[in-house]
Amino acid sequence: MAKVHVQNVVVLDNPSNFSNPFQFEITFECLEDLQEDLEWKIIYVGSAESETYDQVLDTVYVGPVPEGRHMFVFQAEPPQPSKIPVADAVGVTVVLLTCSYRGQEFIRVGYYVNNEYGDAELKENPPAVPQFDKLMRNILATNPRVTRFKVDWDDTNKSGTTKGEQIIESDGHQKMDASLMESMDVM
Amino acid sequence: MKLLKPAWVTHDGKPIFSIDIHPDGSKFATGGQGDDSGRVVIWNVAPIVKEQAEQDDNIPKLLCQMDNHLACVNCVRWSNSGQYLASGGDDKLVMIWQLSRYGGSTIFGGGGKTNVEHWRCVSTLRGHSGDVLDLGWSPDDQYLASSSVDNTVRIWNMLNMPESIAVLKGHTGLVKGIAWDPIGKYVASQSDDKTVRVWKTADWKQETVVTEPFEECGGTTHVLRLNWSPDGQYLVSAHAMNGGGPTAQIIEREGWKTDKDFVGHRKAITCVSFNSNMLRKSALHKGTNYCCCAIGSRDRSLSIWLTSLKRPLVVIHELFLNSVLDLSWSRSGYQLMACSWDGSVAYIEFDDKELGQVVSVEEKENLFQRMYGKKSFSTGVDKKASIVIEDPDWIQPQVVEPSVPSVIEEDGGMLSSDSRASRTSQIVAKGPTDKQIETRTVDGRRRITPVFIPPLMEEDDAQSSHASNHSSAALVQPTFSSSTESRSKIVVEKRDEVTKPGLSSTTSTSPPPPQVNARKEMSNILLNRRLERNEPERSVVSVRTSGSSAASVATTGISIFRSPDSDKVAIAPLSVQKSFSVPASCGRSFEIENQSYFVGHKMAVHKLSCAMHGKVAWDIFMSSPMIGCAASVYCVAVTCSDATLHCFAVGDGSRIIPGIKLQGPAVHLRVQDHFVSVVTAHGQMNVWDIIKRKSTLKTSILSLTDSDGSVTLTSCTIRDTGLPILSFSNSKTYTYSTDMDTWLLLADAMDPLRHGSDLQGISSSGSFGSGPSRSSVINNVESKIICSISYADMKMSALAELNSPAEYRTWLMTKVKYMAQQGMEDRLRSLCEDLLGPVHRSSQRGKNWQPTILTMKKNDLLQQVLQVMATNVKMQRLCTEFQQQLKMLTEF
Repeated sequence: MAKVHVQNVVVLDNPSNFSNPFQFEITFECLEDLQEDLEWKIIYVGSAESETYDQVLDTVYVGPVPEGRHMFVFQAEPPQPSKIPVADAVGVTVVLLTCSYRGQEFIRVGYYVNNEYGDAELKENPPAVPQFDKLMRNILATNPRVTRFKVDWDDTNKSGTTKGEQIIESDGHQKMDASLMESMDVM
Repeated sequence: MKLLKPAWVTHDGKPIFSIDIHPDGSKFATGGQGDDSGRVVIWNVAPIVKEQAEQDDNIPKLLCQMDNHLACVNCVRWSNSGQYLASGGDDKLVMIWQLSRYGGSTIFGGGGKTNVEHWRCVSTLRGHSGDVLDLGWSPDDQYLASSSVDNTVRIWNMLNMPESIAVLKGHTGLVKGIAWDPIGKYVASQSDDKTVRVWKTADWKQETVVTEPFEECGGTTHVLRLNWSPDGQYLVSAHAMNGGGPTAQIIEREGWKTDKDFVGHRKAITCVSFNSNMLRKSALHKGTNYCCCAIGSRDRSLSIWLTSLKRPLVVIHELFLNSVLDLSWSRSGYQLMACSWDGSVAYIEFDDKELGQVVSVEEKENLFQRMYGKKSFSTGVDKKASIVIEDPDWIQPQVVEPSVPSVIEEDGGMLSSDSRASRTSQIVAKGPTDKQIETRTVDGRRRITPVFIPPLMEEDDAQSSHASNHSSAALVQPTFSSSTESRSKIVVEKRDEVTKPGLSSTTSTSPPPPQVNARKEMSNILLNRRLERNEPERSVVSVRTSGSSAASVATTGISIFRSPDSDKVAIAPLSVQKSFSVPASCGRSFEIENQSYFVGHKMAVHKLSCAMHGKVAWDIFMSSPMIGCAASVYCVAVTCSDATLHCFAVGDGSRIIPGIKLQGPAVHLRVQDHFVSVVTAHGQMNVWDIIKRKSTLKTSILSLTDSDGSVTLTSCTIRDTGLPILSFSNSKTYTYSTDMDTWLLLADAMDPLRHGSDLQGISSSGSFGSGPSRSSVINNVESKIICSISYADMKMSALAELNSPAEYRTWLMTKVKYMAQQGMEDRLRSLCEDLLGPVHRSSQRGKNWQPTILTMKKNDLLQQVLQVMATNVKMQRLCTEFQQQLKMLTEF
């Protein structure tokens, strides 16, 4: 059972200039005192084509985390324009918010991000070289894509992660006498 | 009769394995598969009952969705009070849920679903080694029974979650159903091993096993949810066979006869559910009560039976596309819900003309009184009454129980301390509540201590749910939204501190102390942690020695570093300081002033002076600089940099013995009464009796260091035998046995045994070896029991060595009490036999038998042991047996 449940993420300062920092206000609940810190990351996907353009904007440790509900703001610097392929500067990309425990990622929240020029003229005729200072960033905050992973929360036992065999009802191996059903009337 | 299949009650099309209507009838829970997890959903009943409510968007349909189970949820059950919801799943866990007043919130990433109520997991019951398939609350909510694929049924103490009281073993196949007797005397289980077993709640032993109706059963069903009739007279099984056809077998309470069954379903019966009410045709027909039972089958149909009719009241064919998996009647008795593998649920409503009048609770109670001599809902109160007391003397110990030594109270307290702590801790704020604190870790990354949001638990009333406050849906905070605000409401406090990631400050919410130099800091933290871990132990030891009025060298600990490749040991010797002072008892203090007086060129003498209430009592000059000093009321010892040790009388400073030449510079010096102990830089330890001028110990402490690393000697106490007790930073405590010529390990606070034991923490009243107490991590109950016993044995042997009879007895009683609780009759017997000794002269076991242990008479101990054992009725025969033998011994 996952010990940490993300309950809410509010994207602050959105929409905003491309050069403004990212700010996420995260609420999570922890079911048992954690022995170690949580590690949160914000990853900016520079290009959908390749992971090599992913930029880890920031990493923070969050702790100590006792049982209960907690809240914090995670602020990270904007991505470095120089590392973004020219073709991907404008348009839709993704920013990921991930959380790991003991080095195992257990939740990944993905947001679509739309970068476009605020200026109508530039919007119509985007320059060949992106002008990052004029880009506006809009995070589609109302539609996060949440992926959860099973991780080993206990340090002691390694069991509990395997699962999958369901006892499937096997049909057809029982040949029942249908005539018995006749004794059963509908009133 | 109305029948409805609400399309909105769904787990996104995945199977719904379980359904249960809340006792107040306002909501119901479903359990099944979710997206990549198990799912429990709490739904509103109102939109099902009234079409109007269904169409009103202001009336919520989904109240709460919990995706906390790791794998499919097989069973959900409300407690009879309605306060708790229990869920069990393929992740081997049982989770207990309680409504919290957090209010609702949107399900994060749940596609717009909103939780109107917030149910939070208050306890997780771990213990099963396989999928949990069925659950049942005892009629008084004192116990929860869970059945599992691991072939066992577990009984949990719901008054002290997550304590497991009993494991019912006997089934040789997956246990797929649980049913409590409404009187609370029995609990029944049905398994794939083709048996139904009935267990007694008094001692959790098997009452009977019913096999005959199940012999022909083939194949499997996902569940076998059997049920007990509300009058307690009949247990109705799931899947049974009669003449080649599937039946629901009726097992009578009287003699567990199996004469009757419910016939007619075409495939195996998966679930049986009795209406919890007794019914009668009309108010005029007093005395002719009957029961009503719903049966669900793999043939996708549902049948409703009245015990007053020979044929079913109604059969609903093809209600689902797949097997029926669970049934639930409302407390009112006129509503029934069913769920199926096909992922849908059905709702059926009856009226009193169809089912009859509900018999009032008072009448039902009266009936119970007549039939069973007691009212229902009383598993705990008179459970002992069902065990026959075989000896009148037995009535007494039952009453005396609370006054039997404090051991018992401690024991009980220990078992519950975990949950109690967690319960109270829910109120305590465990972190900053008004701001988040940002610090830096050693590698320069940020570490945030989040804002703690204190919960508001609904402890007393579970009633105030959405029904009373669903208009407050406006209170539901907007979630996973975006905000144009450029700043969060959360105040961020940045601290210029370096912290180490981890949970170093769980116990205290204050952040770790500031550190400066990064590299130095790493090692400091390591060191600090080591010391911290050892702190309790050290303080305990000092408590013990406080009476002997000893003062030791200014250094509390010495670090021993052993390089792994060689046997060479480097212990940093005490450094020569210009001057220092050592406080001692009776207002005395000793001042050391090195190079106080020059007698020639570069030739100095060094002064030791004794001050009494600020006035100098006497002075002594020494030829070599002094590096350590320690004193007791009798004697003061100093060590010098030339590796000598000198002893003087405290009273007048007269020399007691000539200087002792040590093998190397001293690193640790301790004086206690007339014993002086010294550890040299070579790891040599000596203890001398100054009065008798005798050596009581000469050995090496190098063997006590860890082979791989370093340890620090944190305390040294000398026993009245002149042998030391040494405590190290790795939480180990040793003493020396001259008889055996070796070091003996007395205690290890970090011992895994201790952490796996139920008995940890008892040494809080004891004298040594209590380290930081951690919650037990061993889930496996059997291992835990063995661990606890091993731990107690270890403690007892250490205490025997230390010659501490009182503590030895405490531990013995604790062990006995524990073994009695766990029903370990064989081990108790051998323990008693040892304490009893040879009953007659020719007895073999009497050869080496000592009548006393630690000056205590074993037979007296046995008397006390028997008293402790007497608190468990199950041990009465063993107790009586030994009592009689003891009596015989004392008489002859």
